[in-house]
Amino acid sequence: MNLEKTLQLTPDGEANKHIMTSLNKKCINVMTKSKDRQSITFSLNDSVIITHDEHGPMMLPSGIYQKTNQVEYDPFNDTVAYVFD
Amino acid sequence: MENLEKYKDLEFHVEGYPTTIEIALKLWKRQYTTFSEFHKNVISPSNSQDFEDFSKEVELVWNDIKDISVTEAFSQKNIEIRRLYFKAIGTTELFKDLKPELIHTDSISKPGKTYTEDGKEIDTMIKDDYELYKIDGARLFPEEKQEWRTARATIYAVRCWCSTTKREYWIYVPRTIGEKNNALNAIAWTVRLEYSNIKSLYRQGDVFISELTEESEGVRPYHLSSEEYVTLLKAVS
Repeated sequence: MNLEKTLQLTPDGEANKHIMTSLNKKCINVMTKSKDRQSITFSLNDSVIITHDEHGPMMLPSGIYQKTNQVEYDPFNDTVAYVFD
Repeated sequence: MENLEKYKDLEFHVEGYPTTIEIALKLWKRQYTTFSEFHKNVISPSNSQDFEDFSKEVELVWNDIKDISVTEAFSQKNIEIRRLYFKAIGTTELFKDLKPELIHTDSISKPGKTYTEDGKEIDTMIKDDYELYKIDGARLFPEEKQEWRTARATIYAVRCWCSTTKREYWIYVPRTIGEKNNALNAIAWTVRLEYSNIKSLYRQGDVFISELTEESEGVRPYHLSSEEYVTLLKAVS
């Protein structure tokens, strides 16, 4: 198992947005990433904090999680796409 | 824009619809905001020297390209081009300009969690307000005579606010969801998950994180119901 200290939760790697960081030792195990890198399944064997320059911090305890983005409808193309703020 | 004169007799396609260079540039500028994004999305995929030459000329005038407006969108006689304008203008501006019909408001208020900068968990109340709005298709495309066509063109959006920044967001939802006249149901639709049997849901801005259980299985992506949204939401920032 390859444990990471940090994980960027957005595909374009914006430096200050949705950054997951282990609170103690390396504890992030990325299990799957979708082709477009919007969906990430990961396990944590310790707590992490997720920081963002515009939103408050968020903490996750150990467990298995999946990250995805909010979606919106495009009424002019009849498609569903991810939202990015 | 004299340097683009040589392109004025050509047809430019935006999302498959032919238009003039003037309109194409306006739509691209609104859609991509920066020249580099325009180049990445419109020019690079063509892998063509002609497109590269064109983009060099566009770069010279990029800052001078005029912005589009809702009024200008309505001046477009071609319905497909008007549709491109509406899309490029975006939900927030379109719904603010057109004074849409508020069809339902709802809010949630439930115990949840918030966190300090150093990761301490604090009990809090999650409080969110949601408003569902509608713009009739007949207002967007008044020349359409058939009722079923104008009904299909009706658009719905849910208005919500970021709990940290209080910034306002407008998110389009499908007509089938809008027609349920339920703002909470509309915001729940914007959450699309890929696992069953979720224990809880964390939200930071546009990112949702589902906590899985031993019973969770990968399933065909599904949108949450209002009940699931309220029950699962554990923390919002």
